[in-house]
Amino acid sequence: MTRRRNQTPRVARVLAAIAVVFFCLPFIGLLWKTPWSRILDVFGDADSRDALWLSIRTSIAAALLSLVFGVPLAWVLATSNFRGRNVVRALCLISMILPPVVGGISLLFSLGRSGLFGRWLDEWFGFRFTFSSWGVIVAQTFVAMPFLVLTVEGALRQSDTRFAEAARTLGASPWYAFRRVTIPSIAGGLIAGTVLAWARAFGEFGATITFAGNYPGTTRTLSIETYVSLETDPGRSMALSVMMIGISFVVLVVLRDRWLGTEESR
Amino acid sequence: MNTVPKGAGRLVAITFGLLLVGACGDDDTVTLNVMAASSLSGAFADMETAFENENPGVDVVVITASSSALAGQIIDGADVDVFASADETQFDRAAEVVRFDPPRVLATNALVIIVPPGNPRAVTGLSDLARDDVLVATATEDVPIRKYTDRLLEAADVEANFVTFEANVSGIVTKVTTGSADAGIVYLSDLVGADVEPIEIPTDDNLLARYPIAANGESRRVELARRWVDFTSGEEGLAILEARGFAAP
Repeated sequence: MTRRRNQTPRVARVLAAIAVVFFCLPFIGLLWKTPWSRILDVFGDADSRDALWLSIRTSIAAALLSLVFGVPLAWVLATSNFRGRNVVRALCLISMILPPVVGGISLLFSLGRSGLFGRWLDEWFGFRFTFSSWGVIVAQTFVAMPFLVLTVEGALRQSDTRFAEAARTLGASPWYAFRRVTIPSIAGGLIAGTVLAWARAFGEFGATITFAGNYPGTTRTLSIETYVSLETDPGRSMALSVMMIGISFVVLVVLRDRWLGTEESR
Repeated sequence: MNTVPKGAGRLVAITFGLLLVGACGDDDTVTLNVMAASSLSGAFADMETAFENENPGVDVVVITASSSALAGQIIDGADVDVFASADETQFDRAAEVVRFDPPRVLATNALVIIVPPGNPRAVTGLSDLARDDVLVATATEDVPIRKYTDRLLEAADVEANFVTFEANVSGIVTKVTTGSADAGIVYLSDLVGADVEPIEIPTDDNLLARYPIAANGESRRVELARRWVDFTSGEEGLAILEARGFAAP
């Protein structure tokens, strides 16, 4: 099969163009209506800064947690062949396609203050996820980790296992071989997965507001701030939306050029 | 150019066909868009059924959210026939943009403290809301219940231990029914059907929320809209409102 690859039929190109327009129109509408003269004031005001700072801290924490637990999970899912593996995988990835509010409700009734497990945390240690930044981090990790697991598992499946096997025959422990041979070979997938998980955590809204609540500085993240100000001050809400679009866009472009572009340039 | 799979064109045609079918509605019914404060959702759902039975061919759509959110939607050009707000401020905001009929007061609603079943933190009155161990839920600024709550607390000189600001009254009720928060201040009408315990606020300290309602004078369905307004404040409407915890104006 030696067909020229870059000759897409006209129908496909027309439909693709419609899709591009579909994705661009909302942003054009938003950018058109955004009160640009106010944008610096909005970015600089104390409420926005609190919300942005909270979002940055919690989303990085969520990305790190996803990394610490998600990579081993992906490793197990990619390499072991135990009974019920597909069920375990489905359970671990379901929060990715679940409506976030459903995730929030589930968290509320399990880890919430009077939830099945959460009540004991409160009773024994006086610790609460509800209305605390820890609750935000848990909600974000819950929805974001699957993105990392899926990406890393894919990378592990595609990576050449012979090098790790060779390391093993040379006497390396499984952990050593994983750290020094496998991890470097999937670096692209690892970084892409972490950034995707971070971006999902950064934008998280539904599970957070349902589970953790909405309090300035503690649980009111940038997404919630954007939502709250839509009612009272739409202009402010648009300016904040522009901020979030900007951040997400930069992250995606950098990610694509650095680590996802390798496939193309090969 | 023959790289397109055979069925592709047909697939596209079917997709657009389905979109067209989905976009076409039933032409025989008239839709009446009623926007109402979330606290009215139960009462207006009851009235919707009764009104539709009396007016065949009319489909009443009740849209509920916080009055401030609804006012925002009306300002943004939402298709509204009737607006019932939980306070005058939000009604006036909307009335600056849309020419509503002169509003009438539909009902009044007293305020009440709610606690989870069993009252785990032994809340007995407004002053308990300032305690460190009592987590109190309320709504974001501009939502009428928050304004009433602030007024009430200010008069009683209580600084409440707020832990969360919900988007509307239902959010407050949810935080209390799920035991996430220990207390909240809501309308008396919110007690109907909610798994919470009420702690009454003495009449002298209490205040009454007033609900203005009016038909949109610019609407093409203004006659029908006025009929709905009359219905809600008529005998049948008042009976439903009272059953839902509201008081006659």
